[in-house]
Amino acid sequence: MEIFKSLKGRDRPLSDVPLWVYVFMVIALSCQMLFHAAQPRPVALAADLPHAPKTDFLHIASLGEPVTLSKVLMLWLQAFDYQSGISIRFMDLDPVGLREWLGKILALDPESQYPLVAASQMYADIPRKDTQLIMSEFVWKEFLKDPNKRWRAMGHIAILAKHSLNDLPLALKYAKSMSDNITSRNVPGWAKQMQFILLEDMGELEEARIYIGGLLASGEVTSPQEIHLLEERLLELEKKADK
Amino acid sequence: MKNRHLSPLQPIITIAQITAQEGIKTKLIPLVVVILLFGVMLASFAGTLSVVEADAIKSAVIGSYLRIAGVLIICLFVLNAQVRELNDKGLDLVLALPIPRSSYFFGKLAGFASIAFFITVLFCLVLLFYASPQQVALWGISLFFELLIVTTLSLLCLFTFNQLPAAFTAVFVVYLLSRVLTSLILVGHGPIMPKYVIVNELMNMVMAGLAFVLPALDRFTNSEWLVYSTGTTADLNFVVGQGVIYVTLLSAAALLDFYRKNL
Repeated sequence: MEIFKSLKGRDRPLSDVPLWVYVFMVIALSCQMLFHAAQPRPVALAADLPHAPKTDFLHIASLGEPVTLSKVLMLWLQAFDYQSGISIRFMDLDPVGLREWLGKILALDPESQYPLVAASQMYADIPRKDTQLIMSEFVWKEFLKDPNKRWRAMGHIAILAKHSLNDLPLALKYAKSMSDNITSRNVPGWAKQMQFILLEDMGELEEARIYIGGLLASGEVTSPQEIHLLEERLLELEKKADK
Repeated sequence: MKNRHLSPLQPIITIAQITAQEGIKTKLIPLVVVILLFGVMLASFAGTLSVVEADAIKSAVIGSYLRIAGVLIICLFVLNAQVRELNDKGLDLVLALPIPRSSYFFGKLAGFASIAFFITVLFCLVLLFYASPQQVALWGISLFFELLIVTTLSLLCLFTFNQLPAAFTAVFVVYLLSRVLTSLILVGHGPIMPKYVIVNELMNMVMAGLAFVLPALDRFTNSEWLVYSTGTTADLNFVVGQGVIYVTLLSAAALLDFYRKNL
């Protein structure tokens, strides 16, 4: 508040300012606004994804704040690779590079669920088999490192493996991994019984409803953004089922 | 009688010369050289850490480092010089002379601009070892305009706040926001963000509004130009256009504040 006290009453009246300064100001401001309006709208470019640096380098670059750097990098990755209306362009996105980035980001902040949510729900939606497979394997491998905390994304990739990749053995492998590796009592029982859900003769929508409904009911997902993402996913599957 | 025949530009030139000389007196040149050498060492170290693309990593690291170093050097130099002038009553003395305030302002701006030019040239000479001359030239022109924007912004903030901490914070916040605003806008419109939530919609509107009045610094001085030689004439036109317009706008705002200032 001292700053504003020091400003108070120190100024001359506006009439003391020469007219040409006001004219100068109005012209410059108009030019700035017109210049901005004339620029093309910013778009995300899949081709811009650079190679991920080594984890050691990222740790140095984080200046002792790896968690913050992880969050910022995740936003940066999200900012140019999954935008409204242009996700179709990400057919061109290099899935190996994407996996590298997600892996590094997760290594900086192992407690974060964000890279796994992004891999299983955003990038795995890209209609490219190699991307879906690479993302699924990424989620699975990362899950094995900390099953009791990283199980949430596994259900999505198991359903994806069964329906999008048409690979039931792979889906069952993921589900078995869940039942074999999750030991915490805090994880809902149905999450450990994904195999039964997958073996039932259900469509993708029904399975997703059970899984996402279970996730939401369990209170595991609290972030409004993630709840929105899950709801959007169900809506998309409903639209797909209607066709 | 002799004063009557002086060119109106004469006070501006004189003030600019004195301001530029201050850079030499305050040992700015050795400081810039030390920072430059540190950057070269940092880039070499980063290069040794990499398995592939060592040259690309070196160019990216030194480009980003020199950009932020240049911004910090010029910002702190301008703020420090102006605070000293305020404290030493040098500003009162100059304004007691029969010269318009605008001459003082433009003289100062020209002096600081010459220092920004010197820093840019020095940085570019080193960057020639890391990238092609055309791309270094584009990077250099862009850095010069970026430093010019920071210089004018620093002057404006100091005229407004009169204190170094407040002025530096304001410059830093505006600079940072100008660098990340495009990314924030893209994230704000992403599908993961909840739609029709008032706070989000409001934030998107605020960010869209800010984009109209802040310079798009995310399109300035890209290390990518040095690494992949992707800089084009369109980038050059953009940085020159945006640079000229924004320095003009900040100058007008600074003059408005300066003319209202009671000394």
